[in-house]
Amino acid sequence: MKTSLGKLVAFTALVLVLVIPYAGAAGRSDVLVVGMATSDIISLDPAKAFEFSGVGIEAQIYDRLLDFPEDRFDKPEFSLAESFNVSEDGKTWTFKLREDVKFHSGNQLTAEDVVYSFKRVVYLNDQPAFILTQFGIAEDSIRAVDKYTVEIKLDNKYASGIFFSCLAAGVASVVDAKVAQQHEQKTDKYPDGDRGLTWLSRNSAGSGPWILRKWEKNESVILDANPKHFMHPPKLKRVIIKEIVEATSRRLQVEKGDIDIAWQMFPDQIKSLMKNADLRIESSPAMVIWYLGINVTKGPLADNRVRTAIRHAIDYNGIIDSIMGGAASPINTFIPEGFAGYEDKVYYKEDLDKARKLMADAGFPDGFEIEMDHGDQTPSPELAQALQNSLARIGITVKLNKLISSQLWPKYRAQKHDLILARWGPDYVDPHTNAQPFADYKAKVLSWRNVYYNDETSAMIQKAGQEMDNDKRIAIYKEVNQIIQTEGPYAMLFQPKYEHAVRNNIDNFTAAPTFDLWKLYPITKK
Amino acid sequence: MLQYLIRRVVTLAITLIGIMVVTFFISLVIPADPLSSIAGPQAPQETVDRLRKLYGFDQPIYIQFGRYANRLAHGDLGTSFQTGRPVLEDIAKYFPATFELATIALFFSIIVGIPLGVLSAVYRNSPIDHFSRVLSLIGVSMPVFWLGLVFLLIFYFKLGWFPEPGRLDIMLIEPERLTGMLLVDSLIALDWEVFFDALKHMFLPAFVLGLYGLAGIARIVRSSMLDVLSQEYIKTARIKGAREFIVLTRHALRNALIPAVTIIGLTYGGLLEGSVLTETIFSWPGLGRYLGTAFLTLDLNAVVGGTMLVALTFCLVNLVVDLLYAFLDPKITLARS
Repeated sequence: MKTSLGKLVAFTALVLVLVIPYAGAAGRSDVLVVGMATSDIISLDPAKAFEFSGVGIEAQIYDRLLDFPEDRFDKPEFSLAESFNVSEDGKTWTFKLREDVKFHSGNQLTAEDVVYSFKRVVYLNDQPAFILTQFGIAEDSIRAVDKYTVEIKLDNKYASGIFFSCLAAGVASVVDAKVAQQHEQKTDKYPDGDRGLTWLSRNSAGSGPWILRKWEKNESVILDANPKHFMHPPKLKRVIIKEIVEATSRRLQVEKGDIDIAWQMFPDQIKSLMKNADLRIESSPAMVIWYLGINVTKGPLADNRVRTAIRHAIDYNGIIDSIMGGAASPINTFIPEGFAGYEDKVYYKEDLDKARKLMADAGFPDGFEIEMDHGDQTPSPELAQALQNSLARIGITVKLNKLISSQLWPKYRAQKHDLILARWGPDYVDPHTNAQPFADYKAKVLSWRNVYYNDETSAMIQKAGQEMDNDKRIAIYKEVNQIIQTEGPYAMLFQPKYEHAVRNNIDNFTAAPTFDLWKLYPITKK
Repeated sequence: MLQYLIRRVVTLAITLIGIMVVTFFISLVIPADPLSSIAGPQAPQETVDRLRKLYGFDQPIYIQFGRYANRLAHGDLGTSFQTGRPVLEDIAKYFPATFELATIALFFSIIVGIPLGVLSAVYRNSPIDHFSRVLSLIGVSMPVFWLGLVFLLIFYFKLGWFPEPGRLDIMLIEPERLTGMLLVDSLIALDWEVFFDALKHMFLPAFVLGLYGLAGIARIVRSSMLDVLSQEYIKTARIKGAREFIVLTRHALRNALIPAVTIIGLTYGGLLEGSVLTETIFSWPGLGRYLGTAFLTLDLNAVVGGTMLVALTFCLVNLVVDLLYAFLDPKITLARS
């Protein structure tokens, strides 16, 4: 026993000796380490990825016909394409490709690869496919005219701004056809072949500035530089995106220098991070809108005076200051800051007298009882409570229903809610991606879910969708927004900001309003 | 003995089938829609309906169950929605990380908890007893989330004694994956750099998890020891002139260990489920986070597969505990138990 005890003590001492002198990892001067929550990634295949992190990483690995520069998001620029033509009727688009682009495999990127990539999106028909198929793109509507010319036929005339933004979206990434075909396999879902979907979910066949080295879910994504990129050879050799779900843990690691960038920090952490001289905070308005959805068929909510009273009863500044820690801005438009067409005009401010008068005019001087559904993740429960308190001041008693996502969204889609606290983020980088769901009930998204069937706004949005003059198109959105703000089924709450902690030895970092618009290639490290 | 084991294996198989049936039906009848969660909040209803068809959720429940049972009979647990990979592959990936951490944590709980319990009983109401009580109280009552963050703050951030959260320094290359347990794989590959780095990364999460187990073990050993120490045979041993150390270890502790073994078994079973919170704080890619996400998103295949794994683990741990009873107390025979 004595001997065993002695061995135990010796072993413990050995462990302590091994552990205590830890001094941190070194030798990372050409490696960028980013700490972020990436557990939402399901696949890194452009035809399937539709999660925040998945699209963001996939966008670094692949190139598209058009792309946004690292610091401007109003309209995309040429990337793989170097020129285009459009037919008289606006339905046939022809793109001339660059001839100097090679995939990571060494294969030349040609029109056949573009055709294959678009066709596989249509064939696989996964979540992001609608971004292309909404233009009527089918397997037989795209062809290679010659080695470096692609022709795409649409089913209608569409606004070039919308179409181009969609061509710059992750789903329109060009995949190395030869590599994808080599890894084709038959699966239960795709008995005729999966077009490389299974393999591409964890591997890459792109031409982008970064090459996927490894993705281990819940651990890390490792990207190696593609020094031969035709336009943006990265300045660093490697990027490691480390999965750190817990924000406090991200904060400690960026302060300690174990990671270079702590992605998306919360307001209370930002306050303490700002005291650290080795760091700076980089922020950008997120292209997200938090709103209160109002089902216009539910009792008193059918009366626009009640909806307007609700909009006037909300303590917008209190919510932004106390719950969002100031990292948000009031918003009274469905077009977030960063998109063309954004307006900072304020329609609604907290005005309890006006709200109470509207309630009395509508026949509810003593208020009424109503339910509000909301999600279970921060800040939804906190926001819901703040809204409950706000509405109580004009006599509206709100019963809160905290639901997990698999309960919340089916209820919303089934139009069974009274009030719902929700948020909306763009599917692609154009105001149409917000205008359509918020104002065109025929798209069967937000306007439809809140049972706000306004044929006028629906027709205006459809007209905007085909308007080739961008200025005229934006003017239509603004006009529609005025109607929606005045009588629509929403109370717009705020547009949050993304705030990231960046160590001072990192240069050329530009915070982007969404992860897929963030470019890793310009970043340098001292 | 063999007959006993066969009986237990048959019971285990029936238990697993029961767990599978119950979990499958509960997952399908609760008022929530996994497809809605997969499609995300923005997708229109058409997308949800298309995915429902693609995943076969548009079929009647009995057909879905038949398909699932048929697949299971062929050793296929299905594909996870959240990872897009076969559930069996996911479990093979995440369980070793949890197993390694849980085993080290339990080892810590035992080597500290048992001596602490014995000393508390022998030196009742002394400073060591008070220390043990406070430590147990901390282990049991402090939320593991809070404890983990505080330990990170002190031992990683302020003192720098331990490395950042994660299983391994991100600049190191993992050895060839044979068992999925980094310590074992690095030993097999004789990669000492990875071994020691993995050991360093293991320390804080294992300590936090171990503290929880330690609390229960120390308290049960203490109370059991107090009970045993008042027995006649202990007095007899002392009267016969046995050395106190022998009295305590050979006569008292061996008898006092039986209830402790039960607690150790339950603790180990619990640890092997994986701890969502500990794994989250320490960026540990284990089963806890995998199952936590699976439950929240109603990832049906992962939920049923994971639940069966947890049930299997508990059953096996209980079996080992029962076998240990017989070893510790020859009066207990397996045939009768």
